[in-house]
Amino acid sequence: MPDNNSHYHRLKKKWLSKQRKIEKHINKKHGHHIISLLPKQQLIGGLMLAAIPFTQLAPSIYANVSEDQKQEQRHISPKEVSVKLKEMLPNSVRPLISGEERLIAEFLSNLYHIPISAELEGIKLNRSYGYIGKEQHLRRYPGDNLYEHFDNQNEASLHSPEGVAPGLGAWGYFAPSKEEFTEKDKQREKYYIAVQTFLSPGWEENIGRYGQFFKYKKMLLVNPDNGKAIVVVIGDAGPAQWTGKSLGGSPEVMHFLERVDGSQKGPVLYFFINDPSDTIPLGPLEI
Amino acid sequence: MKKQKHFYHNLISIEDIKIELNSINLSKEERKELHLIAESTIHCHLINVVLEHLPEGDKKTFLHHVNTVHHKTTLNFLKKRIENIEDKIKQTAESLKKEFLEDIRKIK
Repeated sequence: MPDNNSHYHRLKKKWLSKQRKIEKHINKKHGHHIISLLPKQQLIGGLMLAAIPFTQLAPSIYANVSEDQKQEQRHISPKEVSVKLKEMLPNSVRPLISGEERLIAEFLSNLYHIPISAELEGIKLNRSYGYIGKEQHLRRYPGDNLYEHFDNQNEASLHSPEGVAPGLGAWGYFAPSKEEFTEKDKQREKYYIAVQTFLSPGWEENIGRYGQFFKYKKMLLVNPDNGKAIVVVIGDAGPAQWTGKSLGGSPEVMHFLERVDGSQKGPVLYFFINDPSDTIPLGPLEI
Repeated sequence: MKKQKHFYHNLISIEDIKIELNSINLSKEERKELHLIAESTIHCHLINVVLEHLPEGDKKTFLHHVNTVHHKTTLNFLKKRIENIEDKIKQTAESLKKEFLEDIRKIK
């Protein structure tokens, strides 16, 4: 007797494949027209991408990770992840269009079994693919100093050269005092990124709400050149637009991703993680 | 939630897919999701058909207006620029609908 549930999985698998095929085709052939609409859309804030046909695709389709897909992607090396990502990414480092973001988020969600998306609670960043620069360490509590940051000499020699930023992060200290400083605060500073919160569509009209939303929001960061992935939090705002970079990573984040600043700078993918129960730990991810 | 209409809503109907999905044993949510995937796929194909035939200079205008509520205006815009666009839309949708229906019948 056929399993009714298998009807659903078989049809879903086949039909999602048809859908991805046409999405890829449109992205490849007409993506430049779609992307050319982006600046105009960004000007009207929350309505960004409203004119893009891909918004017709229901997010719920991508939220459900089927067992078949999990099985298919369980054994894959970082190098293979990189190859797959390159197939989905444009040749130039530009803002991804909605269809591209969905395909990549779906792939990474399935791979790491983490629900990720470019938009969460109706809020998006200005982009989800961009050049990353190196940030300095942040002061975690009043009186904190550089050498308090490290657990051993090896960490200190690897991550101390960047020094500590003269100012505080966008949300101040991670803890009000050394006594109240916790392991969670420590991890947040260790694995933090700075993103251009101030360029997110709708920011000016919703500074208070958006500020609270972005504070320590978990994100998945992936280096498409080597397939390395890490869970981080948004710990600061920046960098300035004129730098040509779209985000910054703590020394530890940059070291793990094997990304450097300056003329050798490279891009990363960054997506929100939907983790309301705070169960996903920060740090490097294994496949 | 009110279902969003598109510039092609008077030309095609995918009710047959819904009816055929009703004939297999699925939960309400599963049926709804599968129908949504079929609908989204057909939508993408129809957008593609239009983009394939529109002159370069008109593609941006079309993409900008595709999700507005002025469906009649959008369709009139297309009719002036693409010969037999209504037939092309109908043929594309029919062919896809046939594929989806066959997929359902095959698993019965």
